[in-house]
Amino acid sequence: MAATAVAIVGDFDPTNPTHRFTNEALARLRLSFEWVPTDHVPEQPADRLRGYAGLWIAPASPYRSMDGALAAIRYARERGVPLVGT
Amino acid sequence: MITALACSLVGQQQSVRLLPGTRAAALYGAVSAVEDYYCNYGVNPDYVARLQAGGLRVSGVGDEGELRIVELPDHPFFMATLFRPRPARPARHRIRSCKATPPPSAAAASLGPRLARRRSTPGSPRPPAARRTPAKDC
Repeated sequence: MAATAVAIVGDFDPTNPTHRFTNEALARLRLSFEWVPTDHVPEQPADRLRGYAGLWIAPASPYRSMDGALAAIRYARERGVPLVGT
Repeated sequence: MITALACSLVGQQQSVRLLPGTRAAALYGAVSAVEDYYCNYGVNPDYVARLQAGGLRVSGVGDEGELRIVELPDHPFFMATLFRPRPARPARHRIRSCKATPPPSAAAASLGPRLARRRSTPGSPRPPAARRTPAKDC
């Protein structure tokens, strides 16, 4: 199975246009991606996120889990994982 | 650290000045850009100096110096923006995925032509953006 390039950390909402545009942008780049809901990011984020080459922190707060969102950002910062937040 | 903006940016298009020598400036290959906002909140100006002291670099600012893009210079790629994707131009959102991050000059060479289309053009004011109000906001 090919590795998934990008984890989009956020709580996907199909009615949120920017969430749909994020999907479109990554699809256009032919980058594989998966959404990881903020409340699925565990206390040890590497357990859930280590398989991804980069993280995109999605907009729309309040997140279901602010702790999960911050843990993911911290994981990327401390481990040198590419991250973009919009 | 995060505070309500004095003026909501929901539905706004605004110019962003890209600060020389930053990764953001290299990626855009431009000195400014126009971006779309959906935000009611931003970084509290009272905390900017403290964030900078901690290693965060401000790489894009608004017309009055407001913080718009930040990055970590000592990180392979760590960047955050106050603005967001927009449907007409989804391709501009590009993640330098996966492996080593090229130096800013190489990144600019590969991304510049695409992002250059986003450069703001003096003398061509943009019409106000259609107002789009998500149920939730950043």
